[in-house]
Amino acid sequence: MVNKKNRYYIFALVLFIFLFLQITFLPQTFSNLYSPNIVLILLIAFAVADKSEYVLFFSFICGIIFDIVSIKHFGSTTISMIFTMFIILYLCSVFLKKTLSYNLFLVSIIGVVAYNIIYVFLININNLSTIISNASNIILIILFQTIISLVLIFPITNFFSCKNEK
Amino acid sequence: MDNMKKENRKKNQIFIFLVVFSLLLIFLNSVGHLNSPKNYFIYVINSISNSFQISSNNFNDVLNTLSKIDKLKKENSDLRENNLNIKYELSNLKEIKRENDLLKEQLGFANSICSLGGCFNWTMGRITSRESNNFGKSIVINLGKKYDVEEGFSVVAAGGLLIGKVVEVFDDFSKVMLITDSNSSINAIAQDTRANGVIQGSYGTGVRLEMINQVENLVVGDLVITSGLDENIPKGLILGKISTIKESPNQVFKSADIDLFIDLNHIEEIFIARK
Repeated sequence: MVNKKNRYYIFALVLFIFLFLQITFLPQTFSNLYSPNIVLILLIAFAVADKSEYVLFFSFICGIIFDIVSIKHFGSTTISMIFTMFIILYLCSVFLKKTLSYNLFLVSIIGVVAYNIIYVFLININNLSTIISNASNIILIILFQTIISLVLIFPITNFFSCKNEK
Repeated sequence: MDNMKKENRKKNQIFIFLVVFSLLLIFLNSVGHLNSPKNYFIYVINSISNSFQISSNNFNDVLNTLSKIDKLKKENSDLRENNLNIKYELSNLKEIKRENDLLKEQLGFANSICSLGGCFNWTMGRITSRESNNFGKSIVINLGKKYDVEEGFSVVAAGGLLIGKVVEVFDDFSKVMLITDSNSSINAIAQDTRANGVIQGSYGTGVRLEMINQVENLVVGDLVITSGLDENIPKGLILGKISTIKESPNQVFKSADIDLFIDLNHIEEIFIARK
């Protein structure tokens, strides 16, 4: 468990490292399908653990950085990240009264699926028929991201959780 | 309860503010006001990712080698046999080349290729970084406005294999959309049967030959090349070979899956075709 005051500094540092790795190292090491979105997973875990509005700012900054280095559809990642974190925060305030394992699984799945669906929708607004014909590829990518998030979300959430503090 | 309502209201306000600010940034980007900060930022990212490229390639090579040892043994013995045949052909080709060089000298042949779309010169470049997105496929190369690169230029790997086209140009580098990107579409033709179609990317995982007329013939294993109908893309660049054909009498068009000859994640050097 982490001191509430230092929590945000530690999170910002870890987020910076993950962001750095995702932009420079991961795309060159892993192929398209198997490159994990570790920044998204970290943000979801922090949103679930902290439930504060700061995660919206963090997701905005990460989204802008991804959009700057991406080739087209500037703004898609930012909008997708902000909406996903907003959905997570809403779910946490309405359903996640106690941090039970079942609730954590459900929220992480919803977060990963929501992000990917919003992003695919934004980049293909003019080409919906392509989405339908490539549904199997999209589903594979979402499935893989969900599995990775389920593996990583527990340790990260435990690290940043403040449930023992009052 | 009041505190919770206040908190929720605060989160809603922050959410709306961030969405509006994002839309403002999208607008500024569309009118070109963000080009300068983007230029500096990508320059820094490329400088760092360059140093990772060698280590990640080595890591990938080790993993690939371990998983393919049996296949490598068979490939090795096939290659030895091919090697002997090639040596014989090479000696014949050397004689033909010598004759060709003499003829070129006499005709004043320039360092270019002329095809249906015009004549093209080749400039060699290097890949400096790759996009970290799961749904798209793009790369950044070290050729930009200083090398007279323009949007729409085709990008080719060694051996005349088309890998993408330039979509955004900066001073020192350019962004290239690979043929596996879902927004990529290139006019193509099957080499043996001369069936016309469009090569479309499939979310970074492969390419398909689409919009082929039902009356056209397709053969598995046939080479697919560029038709030269796209501006700035020379005719005859290799795209891949047909692996499976998908047709149904109820559909207007038929399609085919294409196997690429190279792994787009492992290319380092590229060539740009300039008109």
